[in-house]
Amino acid sequence: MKPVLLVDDSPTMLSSMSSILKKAGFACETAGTGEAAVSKVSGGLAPCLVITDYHMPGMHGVDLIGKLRKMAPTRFVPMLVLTTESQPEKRGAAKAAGATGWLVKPVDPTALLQVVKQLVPGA
Amino acid sequence: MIVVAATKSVIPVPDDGVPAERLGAGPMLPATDKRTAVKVLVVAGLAAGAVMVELCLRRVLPDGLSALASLMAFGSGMTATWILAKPQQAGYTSVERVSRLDRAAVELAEFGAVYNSSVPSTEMDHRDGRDNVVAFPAGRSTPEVERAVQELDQYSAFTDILDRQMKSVTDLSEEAAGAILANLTGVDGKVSALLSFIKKSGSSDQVTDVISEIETHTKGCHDLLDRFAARQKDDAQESRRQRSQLGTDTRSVLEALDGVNRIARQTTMLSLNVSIEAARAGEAGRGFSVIAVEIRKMASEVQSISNDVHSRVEALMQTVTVDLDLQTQHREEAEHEAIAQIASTLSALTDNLMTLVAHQRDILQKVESENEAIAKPLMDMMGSIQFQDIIRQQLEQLSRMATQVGEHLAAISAMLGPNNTDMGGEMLSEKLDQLFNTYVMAGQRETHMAARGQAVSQDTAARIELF
Repeated sequence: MKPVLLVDDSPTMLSSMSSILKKAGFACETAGTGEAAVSKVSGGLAPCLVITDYHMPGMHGVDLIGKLRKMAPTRFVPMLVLTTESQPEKRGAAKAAGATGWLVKPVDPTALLQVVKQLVPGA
Repeated sequence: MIVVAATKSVIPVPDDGVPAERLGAGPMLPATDKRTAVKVLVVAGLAAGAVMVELCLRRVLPDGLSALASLMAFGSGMTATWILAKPQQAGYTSVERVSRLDRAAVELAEFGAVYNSSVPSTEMDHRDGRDNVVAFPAGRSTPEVERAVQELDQYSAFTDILDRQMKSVTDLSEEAAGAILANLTGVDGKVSALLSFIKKSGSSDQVTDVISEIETHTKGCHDLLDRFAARQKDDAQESRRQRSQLGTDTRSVLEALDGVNRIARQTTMLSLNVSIEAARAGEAGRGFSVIAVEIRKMASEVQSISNDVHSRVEALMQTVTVDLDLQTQHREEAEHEAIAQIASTLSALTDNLMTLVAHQRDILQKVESENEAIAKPLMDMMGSIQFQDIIRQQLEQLSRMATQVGEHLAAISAMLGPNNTDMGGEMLSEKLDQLFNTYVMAGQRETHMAARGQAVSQDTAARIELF
């Protein structure tokens, strides 16, 4: 099964999300920055889902989604923004960049898994 | 905790013709009361800096950093008290310098205004009588301003400590969150492995196999018993047949003996006839008479022996028949009893095994339900660790705010210092507006608006939205 790509500058968030998804049977790949995520996809990683933070040092989440949408392995992959950001304008920007959904931290694990299973058929 | 604080409401309205735009939205001091501005500046600067820091810390920081803020506030209050207790000295004469003091006073008073609007009324009541710090005598001197500048310059050290302490809290909480997650993952792994083992060892397929095997063995035992019983029945019939054959043979022997007996009687009759004929023959028949006597004796002995053998055979047949019947009966009864007991034991064993299997199924169902009961809280705890990232972002925001406070106080200090550096046209209220735009969380905005006395708009956006 293809892995879920998690992108966040917080090690705690990466660990938390990995634990939840692995417990539900998903494989996970993590990246601490947007640049690292792009590098992984360039290196051959083909995730079934991307979950990214919005505010990160360097490339932020919306830019990352825009770049990933132009890369073949992730062109049609669902992408979620998981963030503390609450401004509607930012939400709209993410949607315009090609995000599939918007999750506000802290996200309930059960709700997260429901969304993931909805977006990844056969998961 | 806060000893003194300045508010905009207690600063006099300007009457010296200084344009209001120059000072932003804040009030100005009258030219005749410039010395009062010095006192406002000193007291409000020290106190407002401390309360601003406290405002930043009062919601999220642990006791250690709150204590630091308290210490800063205490130091500010003590400093202000010391300055106010000094005797009055000669005042300023430069209008321009006093104008800068006006600006500094307004900027510093802004801190107090922000703080006061965020403090609950009960705390305000508690501090009642200490807020109107502007209403003290005029006529502060340059040394006091220099002292104020020195005090303001010390804030960089405080903000630096504050920044480091908050980074330390972030690192510690991140480390602790990582350790908690690692432990949770470990516990989850062990519980999952244990439950998986239990489930696997007692899976429905395995239980079905066990039941099927038990039923096969039980059926085999019952078949064996049935075959054994059938064979015992055949044996009993064979035994009865043999007994019957024995009786028949015995009766044949007895009939043969009866024949011998009859011949013996006929021989006796014949010998009597010979004796009669020998007597009739006289002397010539004497020899025949002796022979006839001997033959009669022999026939009598044969008859006697025949009767004896008949009696013995009859008695033997009786004995054998009765004993065999009894033995056969006892054996059949014992065998029936044993077979019944074995069958009963087998049934009981089967029932016990079925009960055991049913019990095992109950245990498996319980294990599966407990598995779900354990798994969900574990997963919820894994999700709850996200609070650390939220706290981290809030602490980083506070750190940026503390840096801004330090920079602003440094600008005020520079403006009051010997070089009279202009701090620019940006008012603190504008900085606060800029600060508002840097917030990412709805809670941060709500807290800010509440502190500024603005109507708080609740965040109603969905926490999860699929586009």
